Amino acid sequence: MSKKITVKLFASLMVHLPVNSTKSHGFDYKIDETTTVGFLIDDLKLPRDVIHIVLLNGVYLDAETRDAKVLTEGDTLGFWPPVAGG
Amino acid sequence: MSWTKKVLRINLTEGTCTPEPLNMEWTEQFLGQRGLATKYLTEEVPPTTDPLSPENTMYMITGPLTGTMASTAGRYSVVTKSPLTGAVACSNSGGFFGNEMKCAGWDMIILEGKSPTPVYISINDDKAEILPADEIWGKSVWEADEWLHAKHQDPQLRCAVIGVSGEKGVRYAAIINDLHRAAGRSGVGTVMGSKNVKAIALRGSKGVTVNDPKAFFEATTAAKKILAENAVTGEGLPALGTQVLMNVINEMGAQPTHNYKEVSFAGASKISGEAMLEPRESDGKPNLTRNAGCFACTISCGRISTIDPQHFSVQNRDDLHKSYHANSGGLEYEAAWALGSDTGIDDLDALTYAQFVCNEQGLDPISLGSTIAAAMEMFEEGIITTEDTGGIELNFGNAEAMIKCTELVAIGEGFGLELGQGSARFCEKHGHPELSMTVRGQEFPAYDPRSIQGMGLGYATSNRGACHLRGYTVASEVLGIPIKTDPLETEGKAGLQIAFQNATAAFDSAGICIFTSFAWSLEDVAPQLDAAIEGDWTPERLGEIGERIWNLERLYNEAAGVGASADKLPPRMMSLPANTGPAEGKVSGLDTMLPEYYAERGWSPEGDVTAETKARLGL
Ligand code: SF4
Repeated sequence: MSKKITVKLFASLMVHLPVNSTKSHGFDYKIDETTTVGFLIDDLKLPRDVIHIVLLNGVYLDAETRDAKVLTEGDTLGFWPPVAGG
Repeated sequence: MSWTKKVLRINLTEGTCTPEPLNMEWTEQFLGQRGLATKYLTEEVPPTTDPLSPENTMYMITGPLTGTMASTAGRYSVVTKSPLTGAVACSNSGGFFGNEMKCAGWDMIILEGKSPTPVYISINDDKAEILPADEIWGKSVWEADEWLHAKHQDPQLRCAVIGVSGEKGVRYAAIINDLHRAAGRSGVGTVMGSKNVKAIALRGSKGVTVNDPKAFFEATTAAKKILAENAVTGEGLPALGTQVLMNVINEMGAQPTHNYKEVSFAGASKISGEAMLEPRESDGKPNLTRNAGCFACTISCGRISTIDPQHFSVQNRDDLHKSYHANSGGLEYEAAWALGSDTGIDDLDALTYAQFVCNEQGLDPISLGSTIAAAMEMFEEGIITTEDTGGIELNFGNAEAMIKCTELVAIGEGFGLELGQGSARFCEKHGHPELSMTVRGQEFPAYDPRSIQGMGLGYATSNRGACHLRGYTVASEVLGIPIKTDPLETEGKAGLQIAFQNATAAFDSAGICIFTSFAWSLEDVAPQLDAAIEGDWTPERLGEIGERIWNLERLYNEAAGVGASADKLPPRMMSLPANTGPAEGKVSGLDTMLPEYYAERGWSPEGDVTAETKARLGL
């Protein structure tokens, strides 16, 4: 059985959502033992210059180390452009 | 220049309007707006004054950049002693009122005493009058605004108005200008109502001049370029407004839910900024109509929205669809969180309606939502029953109940007036003060202190009571502005909070919006001020002024009995661990951060401002 994670895209990155994604911005993504965040970003053709906040299961991944991070079954990976509010 | 150097002092007891010179010496030490009016307050209103007595005074004040072409330069603040907290209150609003006040030739309007009958203040440049308001007393902000425009036959009139909530003594009543911009927190509208003042309606035709026009043009242009090129102020805020935060904060497990029992909300995405863009079934339109900007703002973060015409909340409110109030300002993240996530309600239209009622009747949606959430917890625990609520089934997630409560608070009636006393008084009255999520009696905003540690320290030390706008370390801890820090870490948070608190006090005293600080530092503000007004204005001097203002506010609070003894978080934050997400198992590390904070502030270990610190800051 293939393993999968949930990818979520928010704010202006929503234009990169596949057509079958749910209202909560998420879609399933198949992984194997070696799939990294960097691979996923390129595979989904997400714009690296726009991605700013990346949360893996709610934990911030910093820009320097996130590409090499290996994903595991059941992870939730969220992407945002630079955002702020108050 | 840029200052008008004039103050309009209105004594409501005597019925007099008297011009006086602005204390320019104080502007050197405290700049304008928040800092300067706090200085006036500390000199004129004894800290032990009853906030709702005629002895309290209310200061409506602009900053030196207000009314100029600097970006976001439409701001004004209302400073007074708060009826919600007993501490210093300072609420900041945008729209088009502050700049109009400056154009009328006034840096500040002071309301003192109490009028024997309901009145409003009419100001047309130099001419100021106290006029009867019997016809609009008991009316909503929107009705009063319309009446004032018709009466003065002036479409350009700018009005700051209170709703019925403020007349009736709801302790978190706001002052609403331009129909939906609010001086929202700490009950400044309640103080205005206690003085029997319904509105200030003004018109200015004088314009604002600056000291060195060429340098000012260059400085403001350079600063606007920074805002335009910054991804947050140039793209993010105009597109999704503050509501873009809903999903970020929820996904990281920092979204307070069900009166802060939990740290994430299953319905968050349904009430998020993204959800406001989705077409609804009934008429195919999204909730969001467009973004909107305050005077001179080149960011334009504001939301203008509509309610689904089929939604139950508006079935008896034809006026909300047929008149020009078909749309209004909102939702903002704080309102959506307090009225939604904290109460367990994921109905976007219900929240939009409640926000509109807050605009219509002048209420702070944060304190309102948070108080309703506390009442819901008490209802579910059986501490209060339908006998207390007047028949309302006040369960978490019940949108009809939240709306009913909102409507009752808005007019200060029955159970609404009880909720209108705020969460601290409500929970105390029913024997469970520990269920009130407040500091200094003011309700928490939308970030959980267990998941974003720096914010817990910020709430505990905030001079106006729990607040996100006094030291928004979320910028660093979550959003990576200016640098990313770990939200779960307590180390270094004392210094981070202090840096944010001081800088924010300087921004708030300059006449600009704090949202510029996502792109600007004091390095960008200083050249604009330096060109606008006399004197040498450097980033270092502004930082020092920020620190001075913070300490001045603290000294006032100490004397008012809400100093160090009130630097506390509710027991829930200290003993009930976060139940999910990255912060699972964590409580607030306030006990570790607070001593560091006191030390870095140069205060005593007990949290009192020391004589040395006072001397260093010239206080
Ligand atoms: S950023 Fe938003 S709140 Fe601030 S001045 Fe602009 S529109 Fe108003």
